[in-house]
Amino acid sequence: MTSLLVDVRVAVPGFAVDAKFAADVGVTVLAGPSGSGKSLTLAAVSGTLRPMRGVIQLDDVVYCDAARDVHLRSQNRLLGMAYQHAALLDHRSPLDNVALAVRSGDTATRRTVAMETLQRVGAESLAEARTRSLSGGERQRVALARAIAGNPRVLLLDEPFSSLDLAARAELRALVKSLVAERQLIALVVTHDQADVDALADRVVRYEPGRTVSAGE
Amino acid sequence: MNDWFPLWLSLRVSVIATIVAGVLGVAIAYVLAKWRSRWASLVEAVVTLPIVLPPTVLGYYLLTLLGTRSSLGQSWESLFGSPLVFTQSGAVVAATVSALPFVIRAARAAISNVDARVEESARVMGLAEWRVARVVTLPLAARGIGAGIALGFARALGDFGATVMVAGNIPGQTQTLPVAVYDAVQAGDDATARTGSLVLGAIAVVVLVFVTQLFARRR
Repeated sequence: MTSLLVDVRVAVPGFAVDAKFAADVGVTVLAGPSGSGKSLTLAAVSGTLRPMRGVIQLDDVVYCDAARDVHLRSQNRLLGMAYQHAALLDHRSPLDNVALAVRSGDTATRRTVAMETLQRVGAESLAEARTRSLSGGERQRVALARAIAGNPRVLLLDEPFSSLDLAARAELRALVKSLVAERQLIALVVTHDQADVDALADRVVRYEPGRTVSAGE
Repeated sequence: MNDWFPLWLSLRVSVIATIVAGVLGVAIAYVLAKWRSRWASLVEAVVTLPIVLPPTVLGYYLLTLLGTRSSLGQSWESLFGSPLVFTQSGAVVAATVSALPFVIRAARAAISNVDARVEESARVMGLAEWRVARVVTLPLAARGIGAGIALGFARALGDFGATVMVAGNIPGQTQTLPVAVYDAVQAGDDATARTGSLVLGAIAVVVLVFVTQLFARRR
């Protein structure tokens, strides 16, 4: 069984969080108030932040181990990521955005995979749209396609639905849930919205400022 | 103005200098923007020094550094068979050094302002650092870089002090338009001075309008 182990202390000036949990295939929601360290944990998993201490490990692949000064580069962690303000490249088409995340093959192959991925998330009609003019929901669909296009094993979503209306949120939650099941992903979803927890969570890791409180089914 | 050589020379020198300063400046700006070291600010101060130095002082430094008695100047001469100073190549070097800090400052600010989360997303999706720079950072910073290059071009075109020190004032050989205007004033040739000044002024206005529009669109 694929499992992601997170046992780290992550710190930025003036704030530190201890996070300890294991996540299996399915959706693990990191829930808690703003400023409790959920996004910092995600940054440590993605490799953009080095933990002060501890280990992050996917099965037997060590992402980081502070004691041994091991820090696998973000590029080599096989992750997919989508954030609240879907960080798409506005100067590239949605298809190009997704194709960039395809990790192997020539340009034509990458674009084919990207198109198939856009179809999977119901965004094929947006392939050549102006990225800048996409709605919030459309951006998140493209961002989700980009996050899974590289066949990641771990999917990181940071407040992915918070800027969307209720109908779009419900649709995207269902989409995330089905993608996770279909691709056997370990998804870590950061949210402070209880509705996300109710709709998505196979497991919940509850945060309070500075520490992880509980990890339960 | 009967002799248009100074204008063509100025345009040629400033275009070449802008290309060199553009490539070099963006590379230096990228390193400065990403390099987290206390030495970065010292390096930035040194490379942007030409903005605050009097142009003649800058020219004097270049003349000392590249003159026929310097090791760099002698290396150039043994490589190309003629000295660097008091040639059109010397004018290009002077214009490049004058333009470089304008490119560096604008490009560095633009690169630093690129949303780090977008770059991080690109890394997480597997893009190597050079592809993050090519696909994400530089395109997102393009307007600021463009503005810096335009300002650099204007500076290269209008350079007087450094150019006259390094390339001299040889009519038909190294005399650029700003130097020709100075010469014309000294000689009491009002028509040439007026025409040259109008041409340089017009080019400067066009460049500034272009830069202002770039920044306006950025906002």
